[in-house]
Amino acid sequence: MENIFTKNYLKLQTKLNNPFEFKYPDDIDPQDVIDLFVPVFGEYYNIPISGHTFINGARGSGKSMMFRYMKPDCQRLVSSIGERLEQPRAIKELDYFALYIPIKKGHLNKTDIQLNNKHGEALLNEHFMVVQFSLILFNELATIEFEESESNVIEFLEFYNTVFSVILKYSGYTENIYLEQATTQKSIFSKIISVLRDISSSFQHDYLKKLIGATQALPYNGPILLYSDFLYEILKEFRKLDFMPKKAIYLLIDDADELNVIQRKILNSWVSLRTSHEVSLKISTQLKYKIFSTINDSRIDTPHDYSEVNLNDIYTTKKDLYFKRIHDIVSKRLQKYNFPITDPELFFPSDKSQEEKIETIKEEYKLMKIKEGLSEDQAFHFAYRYAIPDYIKKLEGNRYSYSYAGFKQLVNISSGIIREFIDFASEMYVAQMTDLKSKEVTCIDPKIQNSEIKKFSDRKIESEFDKFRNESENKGDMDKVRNLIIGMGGLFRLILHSDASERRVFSIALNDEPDEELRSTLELAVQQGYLQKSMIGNKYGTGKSRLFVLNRILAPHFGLDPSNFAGYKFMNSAELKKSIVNSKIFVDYFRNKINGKSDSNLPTLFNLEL
Amino acid sequence: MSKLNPINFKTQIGDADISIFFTCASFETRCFKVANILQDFSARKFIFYNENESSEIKKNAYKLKESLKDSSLVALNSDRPVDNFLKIDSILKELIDGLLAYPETEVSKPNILLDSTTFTHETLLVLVRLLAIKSEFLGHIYISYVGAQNYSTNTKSDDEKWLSKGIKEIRTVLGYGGITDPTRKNHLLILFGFESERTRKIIEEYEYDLITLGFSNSPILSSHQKINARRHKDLIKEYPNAKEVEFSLIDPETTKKEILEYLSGENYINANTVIAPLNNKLSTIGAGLAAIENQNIQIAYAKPNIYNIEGYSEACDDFYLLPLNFI
Repeated sequence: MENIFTKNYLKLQTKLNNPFEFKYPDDIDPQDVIDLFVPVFGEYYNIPISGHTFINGARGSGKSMMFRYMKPDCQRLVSSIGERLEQPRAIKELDYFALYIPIKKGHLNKTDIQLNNKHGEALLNEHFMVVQFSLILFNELATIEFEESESNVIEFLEFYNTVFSVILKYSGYTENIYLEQATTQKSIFSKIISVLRDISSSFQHDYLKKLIGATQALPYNGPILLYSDFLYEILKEFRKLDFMPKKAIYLLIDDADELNVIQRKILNSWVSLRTSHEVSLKISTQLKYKIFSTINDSRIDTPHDYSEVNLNDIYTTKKDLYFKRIHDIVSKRLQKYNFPITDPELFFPSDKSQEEKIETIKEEYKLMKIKEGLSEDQAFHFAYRYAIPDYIKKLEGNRYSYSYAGFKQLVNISSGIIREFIDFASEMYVAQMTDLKSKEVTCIDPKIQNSEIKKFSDRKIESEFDKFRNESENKGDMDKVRNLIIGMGGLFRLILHSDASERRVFSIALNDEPDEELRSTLELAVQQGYLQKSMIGNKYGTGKSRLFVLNRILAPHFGLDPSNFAGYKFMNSAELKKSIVNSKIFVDYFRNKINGKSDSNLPTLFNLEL
Repeated sequence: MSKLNPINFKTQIGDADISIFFTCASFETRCFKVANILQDFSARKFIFYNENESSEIKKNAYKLKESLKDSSLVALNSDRPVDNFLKIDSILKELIDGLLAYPETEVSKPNILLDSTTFTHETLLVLVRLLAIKSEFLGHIYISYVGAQNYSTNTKSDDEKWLSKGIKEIRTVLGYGGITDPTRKNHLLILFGFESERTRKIIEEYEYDLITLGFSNSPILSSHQKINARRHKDLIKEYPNAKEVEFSLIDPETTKKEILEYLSGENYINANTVIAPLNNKLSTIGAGLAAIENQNIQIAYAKPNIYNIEGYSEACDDFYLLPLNFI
């Protein structure tokens, strides 16, 4: 069997054109981006309209792909409503003009800059950011296919000599950079890049490098390029050029967590400026940004200063939408790779025999309840609620008998992380290919889906957990997390096999505030991705309770029903705390309390909020 | 390059007329090997230690202090690189200012021995950078290093061997910020040792366009080479686009030349290169020398979450003693 460590694995993957293979969005051709990207702006309507926006999401939640789609080379290929155009539209017809600024590790957050002994710290950091951002922006602009015409060149040359050079001079740049003439727009872009490169290199060579040997605070005598005086002014004027759309320029700042604290405050100061009609900042973070004050220590707030999009909320708040999104993503990938079957539900079929048995139980329950006097709707609801739990129960506790195959179940198991689905789909594809010995894959056999998803789930709680534990400073804390997760999984399994009125429980709601030890254990479990947190209306309707949802990727490991609609178990923090000491005692504590008791709530999505 | 037995090492140190000795306390007993030989020497001795790390380090720092005459303890904090830098800088400044008080004819420039064995990669690089800046005021600088006979002595199989785990933070090393041009391709060069998992994490964190996995060509012991080679091979399979380069583990000057030659290749000469040195201290010094010579290079330090304190290493019997030259 080929695996990731065997030589043929990669050959196999490449050769067989895996539709779920991961690629960095920047490496994807614009035509392919349009084929593969599932528009999400109906839901995240703030992103494509003018205004500053923070877009927060874990690694793999689709931020960079969204930015890739917003770049002009892709936007030219689609209409204002996202429909593919037969002929690309002109740049000046675009609805917005987005420029991509990735923040790479090691580029801006250099430890040396901290050596300036707080002397002009904010000013010098802002200068460094503006120079590097400007360089990226003009380099990006130079690659865009603007309409080349003599009048455009003349106008751009005028911009260069009367705007760029002049604003640069006001910023303290003393070199004479006047251009007599230019034959192409590209040549003017090259000149701008060369000037900015000179400023960037001088600052790093003549200032940052010298901080290391300086015996006292080092004066900086070079130009100072700031956002409001330089970059914003340049972009505002650039936007007026005839070949540009008369719409806002969006700066797509990707992975802003890679900025240091001062740099984040500087970026927040830019957000606090009401400039979004001309230049809007679209800032992505991986949830580690955490600083929302400006350089003057005033706060930026939503909605006055910016709007906020949390990509991971979609799974806890709008599950149908998440299902549709994965459905569209998979379908687009299958179409792109010319698979005969492009319907994801047919490509990832469920276990037919299991489905029939569950359907039979549903029918029995429905008829039984109608006979008891319930309406058809009520009977259907009852059957839907109990059929799978009772089927699993009848398997007599053998979790390996229940099949997790089928697109719907797999979407639920991926728990809101798109890349998680793509990852295990890729492993299933490779396993299917190996099984067929390179014959054409038309769909993924339910047995393969089931065995791969179980391996994936086991890995999350076994080897990946060991990895986190091994790497953590305080192993005791990770042991508490493991006990907590095993306790929760064990309790949910107990409830699934009980006679409780709601057996598909996947979350715990706390009646009261957790103490410090439990709180930090829960936080660690959230950080490591084992739990997701949310808020829910409390039992008494008097306020909100903390809700902790077990990651459904663990459903196959614990033998649970991953259906998206599930109830939650209320308990006191002191009860949950038993689990972090001993998961078995925790489960035993509930054993007598659960059978037949209906102490968990009916599922509802409407009282969930973050 | 010179590999010496304890007697020859002591003789050569005696001949070198060392007046300043820098060492670093560690949880590893390797930190005592060179210091024990220097016990009776009249040099002024500075014992660095990270006070925020394992209590074993502090204990060993005090042991070193007791055993070394005319020695001073210098407490550092591995979470505060800027403070550490300023502290080391002020020590060197004080030493040099003291010398400058004498007329040039009355005092010779001090010869320095830096025992690199148990410094953290970051502090070692900072010290080398500061010595380079102040080298005109200093005499000969020597590096000593005691290799490990065995690594990860508390694990049974080769597959289980580990030195440190996890990454608490990745940061640029002070004095090695490089020159970054965001319009150029980004290149990550990892001087790989044993640590596959940490290497994977660094690759994942950087998401750079070009990756090179450096592989040692001159190991301290051939048994280490076998494990390194296997783990290196596995990594190359995982990252089929990564390129390979060989580097020396026993001579920093050779390591420097190998790195600079590799980076002068057409794919890398115009790239923003970040080096992550994850192998032994001699190769880390080599990376530092390369970055001092080619100031475009950045060096990154990936601070581990935990160290294998119980069984990190067993010291070799031999000593490496090398001159450190900044040209």
